Amino acid sequence: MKKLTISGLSKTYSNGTTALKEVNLEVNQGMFGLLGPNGAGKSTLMRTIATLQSSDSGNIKFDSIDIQENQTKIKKKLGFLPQSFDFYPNLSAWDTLNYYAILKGITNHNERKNLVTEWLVKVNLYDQRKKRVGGFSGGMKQRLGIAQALIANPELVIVDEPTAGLDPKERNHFHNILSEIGEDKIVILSTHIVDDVSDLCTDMAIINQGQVILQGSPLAEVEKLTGRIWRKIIKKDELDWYSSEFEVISSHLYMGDIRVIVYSDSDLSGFELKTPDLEDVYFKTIPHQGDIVGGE
Amino acid sequence: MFFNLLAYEYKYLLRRVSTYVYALIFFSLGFLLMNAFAGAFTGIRIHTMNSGAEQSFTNSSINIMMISSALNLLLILFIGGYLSDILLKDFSHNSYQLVYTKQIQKNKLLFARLFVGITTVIGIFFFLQLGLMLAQFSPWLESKQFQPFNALYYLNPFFKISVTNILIASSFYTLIAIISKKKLYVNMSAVLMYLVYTAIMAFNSKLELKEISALFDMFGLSTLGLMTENWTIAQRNTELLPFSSYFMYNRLLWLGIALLVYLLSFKLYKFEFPLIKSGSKEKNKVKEADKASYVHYGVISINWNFMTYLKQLSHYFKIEFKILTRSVIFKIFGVVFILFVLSSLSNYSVIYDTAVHPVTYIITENLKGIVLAFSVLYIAIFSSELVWRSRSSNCDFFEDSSPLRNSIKAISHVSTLTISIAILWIIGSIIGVGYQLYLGFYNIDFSLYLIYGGLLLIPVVMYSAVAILFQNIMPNRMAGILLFFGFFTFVDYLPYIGLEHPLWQMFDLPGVIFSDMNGFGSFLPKYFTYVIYWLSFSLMLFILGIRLYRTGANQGFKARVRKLYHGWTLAEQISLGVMLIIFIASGSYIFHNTNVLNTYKTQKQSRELSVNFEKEYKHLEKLNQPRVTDVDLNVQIYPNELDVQVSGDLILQNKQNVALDTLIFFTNKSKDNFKFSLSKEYEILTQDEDYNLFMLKLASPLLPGDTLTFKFSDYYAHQGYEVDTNICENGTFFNSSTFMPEFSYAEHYEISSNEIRKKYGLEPKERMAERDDLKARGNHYISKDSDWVNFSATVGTSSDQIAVAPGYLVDSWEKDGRKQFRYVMDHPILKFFSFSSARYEIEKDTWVSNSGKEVALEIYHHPGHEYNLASMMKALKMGLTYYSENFMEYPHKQMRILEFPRYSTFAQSFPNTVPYSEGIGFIARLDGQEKQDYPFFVTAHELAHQWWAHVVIGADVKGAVLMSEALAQYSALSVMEEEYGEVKMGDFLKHELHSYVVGRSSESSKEMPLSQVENQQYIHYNKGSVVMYGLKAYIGEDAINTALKNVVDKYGYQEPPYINSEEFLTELYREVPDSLQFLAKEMFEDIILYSNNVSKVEVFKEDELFKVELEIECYKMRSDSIGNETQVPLDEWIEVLAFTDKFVNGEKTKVVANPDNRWFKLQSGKNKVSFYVDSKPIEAGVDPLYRLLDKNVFDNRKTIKEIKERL
Repeated sequence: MKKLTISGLSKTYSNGTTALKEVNLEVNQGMFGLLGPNGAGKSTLMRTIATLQSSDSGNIKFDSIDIQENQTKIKKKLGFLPQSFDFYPNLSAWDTLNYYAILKGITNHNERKNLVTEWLVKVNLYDQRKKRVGGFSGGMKQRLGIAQALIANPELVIVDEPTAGLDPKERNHFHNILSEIGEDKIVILSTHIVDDVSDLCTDMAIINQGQVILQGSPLAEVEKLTGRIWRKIIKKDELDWYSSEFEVISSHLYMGDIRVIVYSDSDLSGFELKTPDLEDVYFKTIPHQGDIVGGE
Repeated sequence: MFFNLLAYEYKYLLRRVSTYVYALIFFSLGFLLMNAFAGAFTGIRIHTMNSGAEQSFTNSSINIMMISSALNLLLILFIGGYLSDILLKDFSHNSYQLVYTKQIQKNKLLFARLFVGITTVIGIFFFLQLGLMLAQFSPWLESKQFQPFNALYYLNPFFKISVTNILIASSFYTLIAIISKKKLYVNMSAVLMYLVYTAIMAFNSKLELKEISALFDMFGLSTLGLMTENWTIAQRNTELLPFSSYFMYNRLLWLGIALLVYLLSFKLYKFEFPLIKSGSKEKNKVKEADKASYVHYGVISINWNFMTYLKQLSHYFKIEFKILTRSVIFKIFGVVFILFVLSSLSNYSVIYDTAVHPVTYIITENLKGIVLAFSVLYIAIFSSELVWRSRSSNCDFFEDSSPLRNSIKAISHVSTLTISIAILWIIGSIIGVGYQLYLGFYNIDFSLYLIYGGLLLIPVVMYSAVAILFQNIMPNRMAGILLFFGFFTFVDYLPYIGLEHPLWQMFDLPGVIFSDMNGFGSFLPKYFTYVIYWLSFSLMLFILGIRLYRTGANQGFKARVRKLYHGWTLAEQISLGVMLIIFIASGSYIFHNTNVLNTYKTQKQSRELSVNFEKEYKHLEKLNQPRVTDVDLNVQIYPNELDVQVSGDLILQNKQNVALDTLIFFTNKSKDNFKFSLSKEYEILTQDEDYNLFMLKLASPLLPGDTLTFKFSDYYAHQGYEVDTNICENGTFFNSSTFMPEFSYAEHYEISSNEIRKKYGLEPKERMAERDDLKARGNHYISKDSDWVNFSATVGTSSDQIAVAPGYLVDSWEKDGRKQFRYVMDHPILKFFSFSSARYEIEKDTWVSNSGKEVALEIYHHPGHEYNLASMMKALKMGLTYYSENFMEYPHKQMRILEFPRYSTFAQSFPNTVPYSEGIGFIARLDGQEKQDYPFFVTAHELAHQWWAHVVIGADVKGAVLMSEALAQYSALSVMEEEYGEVKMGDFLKHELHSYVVGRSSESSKEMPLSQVENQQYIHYNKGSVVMYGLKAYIGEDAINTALKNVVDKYGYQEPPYINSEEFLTELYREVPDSLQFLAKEMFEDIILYSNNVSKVEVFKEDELFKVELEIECYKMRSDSIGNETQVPLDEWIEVLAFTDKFVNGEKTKVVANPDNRWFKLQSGKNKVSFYVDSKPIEAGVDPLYRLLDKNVFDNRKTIKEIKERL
């Protein structure tokens, strides 16, 4: 059973931004979702786990190996897909994947050839394998990125906002690949898309302003909200009043009017009881993220 | 609106730290440079090429101009990056979509940005001037070296040169920025422009190219050079560059081009998104597996062992190499390189505009120089490409999160750089071989191409290792490039800040000179010791580079420092340790060789030794000494061991009329091996190891006329890895001054610079004694302890070589496997002898004098160097005939020329013996019309010394060498004219005159008239040639030769006092008609210069004749010793000639069209001259054959393009 333990991790950038504050997390084998708004510190955390950045304090252990002290050891087990990236434009897809396979230590020629073929097929790029990557669309590049992250059968997979820029079909495909490989590894998936987590993850954490606010299984967390989430359609100018009277966790435009989601332990008249989902957990944990900005 | 835009853009630049950093850099550069020149670091001010004289001020106008314009090259590098930053900020910040959708007129925006960018650059560069200005007021500098502050000295070059160059360079960067929309390309083109420009600058050695390059030089530096090369010291102090002549044309030309480029840029400037190239053409052929054929393995076997790393390295390298060689910039670089190699080939080893045969070492040596210069730039650029490659493609996180060691990346970078430069070398070699074959040279030595390739790649590895470190410690790639350049510029200046020892001279490898005669000689042991030393040093830096290799997200300074002491792998620790041990060991070995086996002194130590010597022993100068009358030497040369053993029996005679009881002598090296004995009892009074001085007290005085015998022996063992270019395995040549004891005060120990003398409290010193100084005239200028001596010598060498000394071979024998040669001279000669030994081949001939004396002519040369033997032999014969007829019959029975390796390029005349360098004629290529036959000239010159030095020798006073060098030049020119005709001589004299006007401007003390020349080469060779040859045109050859014959008759083989120039000129003036006495006096005893130029030539055809009409401007001026000129009236006969083509022996030859009507009386100012010629003139001009000392050699002739009909 593999295990990633993050304890007391803090990071403050030279411009004063505190990206991580005393982060403690325990990640077990399987898919782990890291949810949080933009700027919450997700990418910093991911990069730190991926040995690309050092922390000010705290440590990260993978199977009791301290990753900051044993970077090379960890890199051998790591598959990483950063949030934004590109490839050498003049190389073909084949050359590119082949290149990263080498970097990851797959030096046996036949094995590598086989693996590159396998992954190009898996990410649906086999037919484009001879094309220059420079001409690829964002989605194609994303798929190639996924292939390079997974090609060496890593034990620890870190994917940062992997579905951003993918169309629904590609996203689906990606989810399939991840769930296929995710069984015997630790896969950390950082995202701001709640559905990614609810679709895939058995465990999750919500992070905001550099702090872990919640950690648990998505199912259990959703369960906790059963019977406490209410919704109602109101007029736009009523929003202020509702916000002051109730604990509004999010509000959406709904056919010209506004639909507010309210948390309440007790029954609310005039409101409709809603089956809670992970989004409600998210907005409950991170207040004011789901608000329609009040008019300005 | 527009002003808001300007304000906004200014704000953008002024908010950038780099703006201030650059300003600070330029300011400190100016400040430090001026301080360095003023001697802030070493205590002695540095004389640059342009401020040689003691009378020149450190803040002379030319110094300021040269410093600021030389730094224009740095400017070229810096503007590109800076300008592209403001021009392309929308692209690099990815905000172009925002800006381009706003309502701004595109031209307005571009103009605003250009205006702001260029003015800011101008502002930044002005800080250089500020630094230069301020340095003058540094309280620690000696204020006497500065002249009063004058702002114009700083502003004039700033506006005329720097600002125009900024405008010119910016135009190209703007265009490239607008076309490519990429900063990278602008930076690359900046570096490329720098590269091409410096390379071109290095190649205008030919006189005929000077004007052309002055006009077309993009940044005007060679224009400046040409405009100021004949400025005198006085002018150099205060003259401002005028906006006229070449400079004006050059600036107008390039500003015009720049304007066009700007207009084009505006035309091409569009608000447009950068095009993404679509990869339609696909060259990659993937022969990989079929889609369906893969097998899925659950487990991937990765064994992390050494082989894995090796395979990673090899693949990483392959990809890297592929990416690099496919890049546009690499291709551009390659093309520029090829063009450059091609254009440089014919410029190798040019003397008198004449090239040499394409022997392999000439090609490889020059090719290596070019590739190395390219490499420095190449490494600077491409190291940044490689290190920043993944970052600029935004895929660094992939690589950084892979288990790929930094060492693999770094090693691959160095390999990529080295191998791609090796490819450049191979391309260059192919071109070189092609060139050799093209010229019909088939004796190609391919091994030299290999060896020089190796010699090239050693520094390439070092530079690459350093570059990788620099790129990893600097925050961006341009900063890394600048640091790299800055570093390698800085290391050149280490001696100037007091770090003189070779151990400090970073990455400076000792020179290696290949010679046909001596191969690589004794250079390699020392060379490779330094290679080990600096290679280990650079590898230590390289390991630091690996440690500091940038990975992951941008990390603070602290994190970088932490990498230095944290996380070292065992391999890294071991390598660092090993390198450190090698570095220290090789460093110690160098120190042992430099300081223990040989003597090492800093410049300061040597200076102080000299000062103490003078203070302590100056009184010895007045001490009367016996003089050497007989010399019998035994010189044993050991070519394999590079050792020399000498011994000698000298007879000294008291030629004074007082008894002498003290004997002093100086030996060459006072090593333990020196031994001596006397035929008289003596005791040693002083033995000073510092100066190799012995002072003996004779037990009984040496009475007037009495003699004593002095025996000495010495052994010079080759020390350590010492490079000896005198004693060679094949091609030994050294003269007797390297080992003979000198029985007189060693004046050469004294410091000659009056500036330094003053610092040490010594009285100012004249370079030479006055002409009427009778004491000084007791010596000739070759030796101070003898007059004419009887000479014999036994010279021994290995059995396969021939050893030669002056005199005639009377015996030779072999003993103990060594050959011995006995030479005896049949009459007294000067006490100055040469010794040569090599495996010679001998070219023999004979010459018979009018009186029937047979003279054996022999050229001892290296087998294979037969190219110009005929020409040299011809010069010997023609010279012997001419000199014997006109001066005196040749005094010897034999004349020998002995080739020696090209480590020095001179020939030196000893009685019946002339050692002659491999590098000044033996391989000259003399086919083709425009070539100058300098082997012929050098031979004739050295032969003439058999009279002018070895028969008539000047006293050791001012003007001494007039009677040797100037007369040898005259004699050789006369012989050469017989062979080549007067028109060709004009081309030759052009070089001589040019060397004179350039030479006088780098005079270190004061220019003397020819009659008082103080060993100033530009006077006694170059001015001497022009004066003697010009005078011949005025008074006739016979008159001069009569005078010279009288000089030989009267002063040949004379006893002291020796002839001075007054006595010589008396003989000469006797032959000068009264009407020309003034001219002769001006030529010899004054510094008179002319400025004769032709402004217009028209030719009209009148019946069968051609009328040539010229407009001529003439001025004449008198100059003082530092070049302050005053105009003097001119009313003289000056030659005005037209030239025509004539067929002589079937060859088209340029001849004078008006041979009998050549002299015209010209006055100061404008003159009109016309005359008729009967054949079609092609060229005409005033004083076109350079009879007079003309300040500008380039404006005397004009080509005639059309012949007009006059109705």
